[in-house]
Amino acid sequence: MKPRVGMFAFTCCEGCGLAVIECENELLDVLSLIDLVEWREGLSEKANPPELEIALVEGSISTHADEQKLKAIRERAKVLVALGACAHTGGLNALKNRYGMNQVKQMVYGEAGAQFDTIPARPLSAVVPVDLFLPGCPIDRTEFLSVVRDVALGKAPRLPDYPLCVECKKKENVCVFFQGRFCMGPVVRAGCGAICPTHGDGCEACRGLVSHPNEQAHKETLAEHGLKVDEVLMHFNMFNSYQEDQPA
Amino acid sequence: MPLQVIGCEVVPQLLARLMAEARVVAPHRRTGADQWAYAEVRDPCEVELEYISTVLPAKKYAFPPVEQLVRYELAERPLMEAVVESEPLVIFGAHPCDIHGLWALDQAFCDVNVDPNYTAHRSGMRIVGVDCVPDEHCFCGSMGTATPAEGFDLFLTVVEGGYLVEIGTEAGAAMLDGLPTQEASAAALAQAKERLARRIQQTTRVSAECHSLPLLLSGLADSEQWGEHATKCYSCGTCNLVCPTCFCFNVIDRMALTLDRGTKEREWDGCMLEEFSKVATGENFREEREDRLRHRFYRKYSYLFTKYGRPYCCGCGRCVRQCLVHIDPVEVLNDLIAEAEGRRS
Repeated sequence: MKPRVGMFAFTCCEGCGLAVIECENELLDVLSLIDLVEWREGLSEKANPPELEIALVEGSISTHADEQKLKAIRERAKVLVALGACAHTGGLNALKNRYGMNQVKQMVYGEAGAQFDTIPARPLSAVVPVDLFLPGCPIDRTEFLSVVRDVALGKAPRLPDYPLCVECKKKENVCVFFQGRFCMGPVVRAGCGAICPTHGDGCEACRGLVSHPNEQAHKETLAEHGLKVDEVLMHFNMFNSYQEDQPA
Repeated sequence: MPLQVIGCEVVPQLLARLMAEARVVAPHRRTGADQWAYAEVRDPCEVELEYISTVLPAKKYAFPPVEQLVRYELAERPLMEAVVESEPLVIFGAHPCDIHGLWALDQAFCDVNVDPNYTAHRSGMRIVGVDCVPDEHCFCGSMGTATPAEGFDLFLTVVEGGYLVEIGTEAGAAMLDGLPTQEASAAALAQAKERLARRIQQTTRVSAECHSLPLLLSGLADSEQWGEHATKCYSCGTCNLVCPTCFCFNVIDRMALTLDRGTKEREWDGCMLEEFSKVATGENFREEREDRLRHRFYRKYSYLFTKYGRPYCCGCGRCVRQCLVHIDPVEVLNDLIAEAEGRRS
């Protein structure tokens, strides 16, 4: 029997779900491997079975209701995969955590904000155990397809745990720093094919850091190329500002 | 055959002839920075032969960054076939260091288990080398790689009004057939000699004789300097990937989503990357950055040097040019040499 798979979204742009929909040439092959039973963004009907083999979850957790829903999904699913930066590291959403929640509501919605329930944004792993994660903003389609294949085969997927520089060098890109700009590549997990540096931008670290990043070396490199301390921190914090000791 | 000289205007003619028979690649300037990369020549007049080394060495043609090795199909009668591809290719404008780099790969890939993919690429390959003007990161003068004794079909040295041409092979001699050449004058020979001497002199120096490095390093495995130099290392593998003599790779199984066919591909790997020496149980033989840095230096200047008789470093300086934290092999070697001398006295 094919594994039953559900896709779910919390606080995010649902761009990772869109990246899956964009696997147009491969979707039929994907459906020969898995049985997609529940997915608000991509399915017009849903089966809602009490048990799932795999739950693919995008978005970070930023309301009390999100928290309850995620726990319910965890109870239904044998394997829970965090899909994309918001689910994996908290992503951009965690930038709000540096402000008070009332202040955030006021900034975005003015007086109408009072009615919203909002709590500091957290990655899925801060709420429930997560079995696997697929990094990136959005996720990389090729990586998604190979992870789906591996999970369906019962095999542990392998994500690269080396810096992005490897992919830039293989493509013979001119280093972003040598072009007078800034890049997080030397401390960031590869796997996207160095898409931003290849198209002329510095890496913003959406895939999170490698297991043992040399953060000190990178702070010094950024400073050597002219960044002030707070600018260095901005580069580190954009996608990776969530701290485990932050209050929920 | 006495050495010949060709005028600058003959170079486009030579290129045009080669392009009629094979794909020709030469260094091209990258936009956005003062950097170069080998790429296919479209117009024989666009090739500039004065350049600082390319980001990736000529090894990318003999041993591509990603390469299919095997294709398979699972059916009643499963099919498994080796994928070995080759094409006629001319590398035009390879510096002496790059030519030495290919020599090092030849040993590694053809020593005991001859690698069919590598040899297929190499057998279709012709090399037209050119001499160069070193920058502050070049140290070929210390590695004995400033001039190639072999490994080229033609080698060009800049002299007044053109190039002195050394012919390395019969195929190289045939490249010149019918092109206007003239016998090298005493003045041209003297200019070429002077240019080589100046090149060797200009390069950055390692402060010990190259042949003494393996013995010297053998007593320094416990040096604290490995840790000191490694503190700033990213373990990003850049030095491995841009190195003309690094040849490590990983083999990846890529099965199609339909689960009925797939390929096995190899891709460049590097000993500076943390996962490189991690084995199935999770054990990592070189867990710390300094273990990896030391290992790389021992490979270059001791293990493979001892095995094959030449350093596995061609002194091209690509690693330090691309290293964001400026780990300079000459500086590391000189610090270690000073320590060895200090221990001896």
